[in-house]
Amino acid sequence: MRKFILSFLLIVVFSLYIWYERGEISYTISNPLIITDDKEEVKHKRDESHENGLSPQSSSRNATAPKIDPRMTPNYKDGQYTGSVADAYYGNVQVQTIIQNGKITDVKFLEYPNDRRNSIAINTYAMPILKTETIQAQNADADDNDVDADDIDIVSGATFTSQAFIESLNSALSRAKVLT
Amino acid sequence: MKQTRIIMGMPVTVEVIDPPGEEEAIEKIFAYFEYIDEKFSTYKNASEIMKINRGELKKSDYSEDMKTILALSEKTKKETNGYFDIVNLSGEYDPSGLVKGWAIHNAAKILERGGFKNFYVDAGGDIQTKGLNRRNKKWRVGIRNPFNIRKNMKIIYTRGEGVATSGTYIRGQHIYNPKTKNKSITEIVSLTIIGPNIYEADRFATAAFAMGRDGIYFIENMEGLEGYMVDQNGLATITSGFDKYTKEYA
Repeated sequence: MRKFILSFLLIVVFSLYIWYERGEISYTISNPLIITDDKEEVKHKRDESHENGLSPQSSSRNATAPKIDPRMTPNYKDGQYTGSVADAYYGNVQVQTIIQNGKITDVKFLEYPNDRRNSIAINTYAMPILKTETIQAQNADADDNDVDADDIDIVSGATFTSQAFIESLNSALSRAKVLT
Repeated sequence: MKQTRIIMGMPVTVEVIDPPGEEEAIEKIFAYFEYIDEKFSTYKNASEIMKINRGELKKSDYSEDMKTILALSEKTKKETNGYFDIVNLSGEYDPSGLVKGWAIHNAAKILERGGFKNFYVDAGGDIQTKGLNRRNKKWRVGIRNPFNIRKNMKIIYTRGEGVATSGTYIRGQHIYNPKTKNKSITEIVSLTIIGPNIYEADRFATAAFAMGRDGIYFIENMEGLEGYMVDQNGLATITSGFDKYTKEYA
């Protein structure tokens, strides 16, 4: 009798384990479009790193670029949508967006000048502790009394392609809109 | 004398302090950038790189500069574990991530050979400085604020270093990754590299930006490079030796 109970418990425990694991696996399968995560992820503690798409948080700062807030426009159909190729200042920009549950879950550059994505595993470097600071919203000169903004000789910044990105993303999103 | 011209689809600015012959020298530099554009532009059908991409050129017919760029690209690819790669998504060569810094660096050498000691060359925000500015002080370089492009978020002072910034200026979006359970994906919006020259700064800026948040650690581990990375929350992460560039009189 005892052997029977023991075996039964073992089977129950084993079945629960299998059921739990299957749950995890089906979670992964239900997100087939986020392919890059699975292939690229290397023994990394952080899950949210190395996405192909640039995915900024909405910020409270004033934006002069057109806003795209999917929470305001819930009618996106699930799927993968490619935007038109937009002519950037230097190069072409084409964006691909993935919609899941009506939300944008990934934004990829298909063609982007200068900044390339590669699906190669990342070496884990020794991670030193680096200093952080909040950037100045205004001129950095605000705190430094000696330096006048007009005395800046040169400005280093990324080459302007943001307008093209917005353009291409908009066209991808317009294709994702549900027809009513 | 300072002049700006649009070449390679971006503003190229050259300022030369020492007389005489500044105007001639600047013209020479613009002509050099035109040459670079004609050879390496993926938007010019007749460029050497496009001929190569269409399979119209034998390797033995590649120009010296082309061979150099391809070799340097391969080297950079190895040094960055493939994060720098001139082969784009369509399988074609696009070496612009390396050509720009290399060309600016060469332009600076042209000016040096011409006897000029105080100048800078700026192509699309990637900069090579030399000597001092017209006030006889270190060149004051502002790093553009990615959230407010009319402002600078940081001022650095350089004398002979190269400064390259990779970044994006995108705002107002909310993108989710279901695998991290409703946490927004955080990514970087700007990465500025200061290096011994613009060639080094530029090639690593391209690769490090592609590494996302890890990029700044890659730079920290590279001797001779300093970096200033900004994420989309406006938080900057700084390499340990960066601060020396924030002091005008160091």
